[in-house]
Amino acid sequence: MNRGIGRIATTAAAALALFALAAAPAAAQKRGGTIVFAQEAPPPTLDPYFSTSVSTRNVAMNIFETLLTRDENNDLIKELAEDYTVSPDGLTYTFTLRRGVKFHNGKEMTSADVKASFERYRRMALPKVTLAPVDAFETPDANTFVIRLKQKVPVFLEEISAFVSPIAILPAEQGDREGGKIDIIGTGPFQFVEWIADSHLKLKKFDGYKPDGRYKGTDGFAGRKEVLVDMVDIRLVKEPGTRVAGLESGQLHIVEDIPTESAKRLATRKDIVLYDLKNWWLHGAWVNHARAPTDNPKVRRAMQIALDMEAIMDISSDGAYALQAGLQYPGNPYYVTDGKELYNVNDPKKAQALLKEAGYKGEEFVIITNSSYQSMYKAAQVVAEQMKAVGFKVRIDVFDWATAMARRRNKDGWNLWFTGQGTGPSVGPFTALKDVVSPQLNQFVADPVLDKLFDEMIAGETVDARKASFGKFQARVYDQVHFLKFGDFQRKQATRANVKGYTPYRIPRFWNVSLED
Amino acid sequence: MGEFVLRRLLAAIPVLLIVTLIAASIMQLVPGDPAAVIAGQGATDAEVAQVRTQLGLDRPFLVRLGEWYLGLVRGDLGYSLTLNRTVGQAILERVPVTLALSGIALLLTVVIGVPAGVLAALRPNSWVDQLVLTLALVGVSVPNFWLSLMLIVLFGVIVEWLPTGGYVPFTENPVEWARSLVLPSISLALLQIGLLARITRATMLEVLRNDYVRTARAKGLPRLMVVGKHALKNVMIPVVTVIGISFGLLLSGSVVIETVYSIPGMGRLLATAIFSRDYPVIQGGLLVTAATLVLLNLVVDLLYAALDPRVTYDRR
Repeated sequence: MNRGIGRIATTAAAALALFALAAAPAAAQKRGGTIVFAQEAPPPTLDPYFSTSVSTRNVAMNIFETLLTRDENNDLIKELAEDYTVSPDGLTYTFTLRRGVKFHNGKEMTSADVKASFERYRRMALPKVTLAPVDAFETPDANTFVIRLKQKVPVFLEEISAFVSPIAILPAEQGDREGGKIDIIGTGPFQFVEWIADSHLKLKKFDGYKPDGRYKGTDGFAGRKEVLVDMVDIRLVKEPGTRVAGLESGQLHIVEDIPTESAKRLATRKDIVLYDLKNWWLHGAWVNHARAPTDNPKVRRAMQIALDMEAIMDISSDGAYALQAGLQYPGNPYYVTDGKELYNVNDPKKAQALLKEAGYKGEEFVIITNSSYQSMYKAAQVVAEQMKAVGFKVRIDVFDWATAMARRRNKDGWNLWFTGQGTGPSVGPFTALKDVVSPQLNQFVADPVLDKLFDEMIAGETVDARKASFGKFQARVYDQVHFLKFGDFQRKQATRANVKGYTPYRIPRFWNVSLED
Repeated sequence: MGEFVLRRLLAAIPVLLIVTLIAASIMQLVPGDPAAVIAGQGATDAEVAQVRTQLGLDRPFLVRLGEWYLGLVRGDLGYSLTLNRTVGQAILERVPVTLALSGIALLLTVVIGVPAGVLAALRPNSWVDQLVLTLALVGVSVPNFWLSLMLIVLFGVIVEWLPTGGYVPFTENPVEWARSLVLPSISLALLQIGLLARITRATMLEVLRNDYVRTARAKGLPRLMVVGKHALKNVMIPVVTVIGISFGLLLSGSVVIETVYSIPGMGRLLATAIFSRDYPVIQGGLLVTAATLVLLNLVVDLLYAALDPRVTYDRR
C-alpha cells in the first residue's frame, strides 16, 4: 500500500513539474496593455482579396488566416489546415480543417466557410487567376475541403499559400460581397474594432482564439500565436520625423520604418531597440524594349554595364542596402545567382564603346520616377548622372505615384521606369518578375524564350527542377535587360525597449509580443 | 435681412454646382487611374481592369457625374473608392476635427493678432512696435512644416509636455483632446497671427489719424475709450474681412499640419483623395469646403452690418 501511494505521489509530482515547466514561459511574460504601432501609409482597404498593398496586409494578416501560408524561410506551413493530401495524379487536393476554430463573431469555421471564401476569391479577387485551373470545390463533410483541378499544377500549393493577396478564410455569409465591402471578421488572434481613416485602426485581442498547438512560437505568418496584449492601436503617421519623435517620447511602441539617419542617432539610446529588416524590396527599374534607344539590345547592355550599383543604392537607401544579383532574396528556397556576371559591372569605358558600336545617335532617354517614394526619386537622379557620363542624353520626368503608374502603361513615353519589387520576390520566383512575362509585358515586347522558361519553371515537378529553370529565367532577364536591378533595399524598424518578443518580418506581427513595465 | 440671407443662399447653389463640375472635369484631365492605385503596383493590366469594372469606373464620365448629381439631391455624396465608407461618413468624421483645429487656431489668431496690432499702432516706432513687426515677420516667414517638427521635438520629445501627434476625440477624453490640438493649432495660427497683426496695425494707424479721433482726444476723453469705443469699431471692418479670409484658409489649407501631426482632418482627406484619385471624395470634399466658404462670406457680410450702421441689406 505504501509503495502504491509512493508511486502515485511520484507520478503526480512529475506531472506537476512538467506542467510547471510547460507553463513557465507563458507565465513569465507580462500580459495586457495596448501596443501602439506606427505605419506610414493608410490601407486602401481591409479586404485582403482586393488589394496587393503592404499597408492592407500589415493589418489584415493579424485579423485573417489561411489554409496554408509561409513560414520564416518562405516554405509552406499549415495554418487553418490540419493536414492535406494530394492525389497521385496531382488533380485533387484534400484539406482536413482544424477543429474548434472560431470566427470573431463566435461562429465555428467549417468547410462551407472555406468553400465560400475560395469561390469569392475565384469570382473577384485581384489575383483570381490563381484559381483558374480549379474545376470544382467540394465539402464532403464539415471538416473536409476538396479542390479538384482541371489540369495538374505542380506549384498549386505554393500559389494558394502566397500572401500577396492571401486567400483569407471568411464566414460563408461574406461570399457574395463585392470587393472592399466585407465585414472585417476573420479567425485571427486579433479582431477588428475601428478604423478612422488618416488616423488609426484599432484591433483587440480575440478571446475565442486558440493558439495552434502544433508549433512552439512565431513562424512566418503562422506558428503558435499567443496574444499577450489587450489592444493594438495602429497609427497612421505619414511624416518620418513625427514617427521618430513619437518613438522617442514613448507615445509609439513600434515603428515600421525609421529613416537611416535617425537610426544612427537612436542607436545610442538604451530605451530604444533597432532592427534591420533585410530583403525589403528589389530596388530597380523596368526597361522599355519598344521605345528607342532601349529597343536596341546593345544600348541596353551599355546602360547595364555603365552603372555603379553601390553608389546608386548608397545614396537612394541612405546606406541601408545589400548588393546581390539574385531576383530572390538570399535564404529563399529558390535563390540563384545566374546572370551575376552582368550585375554591377560598373565599366563606363566599356559602356561608352558599346554605345558607339550600337550606333546611338543621341536619342532622348526618358526616365520616369516619382516623388512619393524618395528612394526611387534619388536612385533616378544618380542613374541619370551616371548615364550622362557615358554619353546618354537623359531626361527625368517626376510625377506623383498615381500619375507615374498611369504613365508606365504608355509604351512611347519612357525608357526606364523606377520601381521597388517587394512582395513579389519574397513570395517566390513565380511572382518575382512575372511582369515581364506574357501577357503582362512591362517591357512591351514579348520574349518567347523568357515565356517558355517561365512555363517550364511553373511546370517543374520538384523544387530543384523549378529552381534550375528559374536560374535560366534569371540569366535571360539579365541577358536581355528586362529589369535593371540596383540592389536589395533594407528597412530599419524600431521598438521601445519594453516591447518584448517582436521580430521584424514582412508584416508587423503583434502576437507573442508583450509590453513590460 | 432675412430676404438678403435667403437670396445669398439661393445664389450659392449654382456656384456650388459649378465648383463641383469644374473639379470633376479637372480630375478627369489629370493622369492617374484610381483602379491602378487600389490594385497596387504589382497588379496586372487584367486585374486593374477588373477593379475598374467593380468600382464602376469603366462607365462614361458624364454618366457617373449625372448619377452623382442625382445622388446629391437625395443627400448622398457617393461611396469612397478607397475608404470603405460613404463620402458623407468620411466627411462627417473629419469636419469636427478640422473645425476644432481651425477654430482654436482662429481664436489664437484673433486673441493675439488684434491686440498685438493695436498695441503696435498705439506706440509707433517704439520697441513694442518693432517687436510686434519682427515677430509678425517671423510668423509669415517661417515654414510651418519646419516649425511643426521643431515644436514636436521641443514639447513632445525633450520636455514631454505634449503629445507628438495624433488626435483624441473630445468625447473620448476632453483633456487629451485639448492637448492633442495645442501644437497643431499654434503651428497653423502663426502665419495668420503675423498677417492679422500687421493689417490691424496698419488700419489702426490710419484710423487714429482721422479728425473724429483727434476731436475725441481734444475733448479730453480717456485714451482707452477713444481707442476702444471709437477707433476699434472702424478698424474691425477690414479686420473682419481678413479674419474671414483667414478662417477660410485655415479650414482648407491645413493639409501640411494635419500630415505632420497625423490629424484626420478635411485637408488630409482631400490631399489623400487627390493622390489616390478617389473622385467621389474629391467632389464631396470640395463641395463641403466651397459651401463652408460661401457661408463664411455670408457671416462676414452680416458682421459688417452689425459693425457699421451705414451698411444695410434690407430692400428700400
